[in-house]
Amino acid sequence: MKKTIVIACATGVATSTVIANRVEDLCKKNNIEYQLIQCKVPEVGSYEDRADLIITSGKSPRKFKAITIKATSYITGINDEQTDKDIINALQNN
Amino acid sequence: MKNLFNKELVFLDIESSNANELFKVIADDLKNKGFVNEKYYDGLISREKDFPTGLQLEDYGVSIPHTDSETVKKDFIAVVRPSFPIMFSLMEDNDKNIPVDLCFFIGLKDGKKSPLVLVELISLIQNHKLILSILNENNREKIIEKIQEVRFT
Repeated sequence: MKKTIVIACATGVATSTVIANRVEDLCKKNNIEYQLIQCKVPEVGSYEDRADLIITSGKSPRKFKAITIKATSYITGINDEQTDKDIINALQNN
Repeated sequence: MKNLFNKELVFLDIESSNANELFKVIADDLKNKGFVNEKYYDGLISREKDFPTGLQLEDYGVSIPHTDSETVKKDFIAVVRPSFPIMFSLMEDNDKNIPVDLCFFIGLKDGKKSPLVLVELISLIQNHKLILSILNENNREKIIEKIQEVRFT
């Protein structure tokens, strides 16, 4: 089943774009069917009901209804492989 | 993306005691040069407050201040080196502050149209050799050359 992944950052254009790029590659490599929604953090509320996974570039302002993963490591390059694993895990086991 | 860098947008040893002061200096200059509009400065301040951009790497701290694309008139990446490290909150945790040695101010009219620019910029930030050499270089032209010389994998 197609997974709905919401990727959010403050402006919805900069860091979320970097993260979206990586998540797309990750899904393709792992044969995960996906639909990406890229938005600003304050807009996440309108997608959280149908999201399978929410990925943010920083700390999320509140707890969302879907599993939420922080992917700052994709910006710093530190522990980014662990984030890959967490994302795949969340998509394959939910 | 490398042509978004420009020696006129390399700011070295900027004196300021905090991020807001630094933003003021850079925002005024960017506005005078026609890259941003009058809303850019306020945008930077409020965005940084709610969604900070400090990033801690192994040997240094960087930040990538940016705000809504509506405030950008012409795409740019400005390289800004404060005279002393400036405190920024961490992107991953607003409650933690780190000293930042180098900032990349990003201005893109439509970031989604330029994913490669952003991906490449991030790889620059992670390039220890490059960042350390920018921190020790006083010639703005040479800094641009060093950035241009980086080969992306």
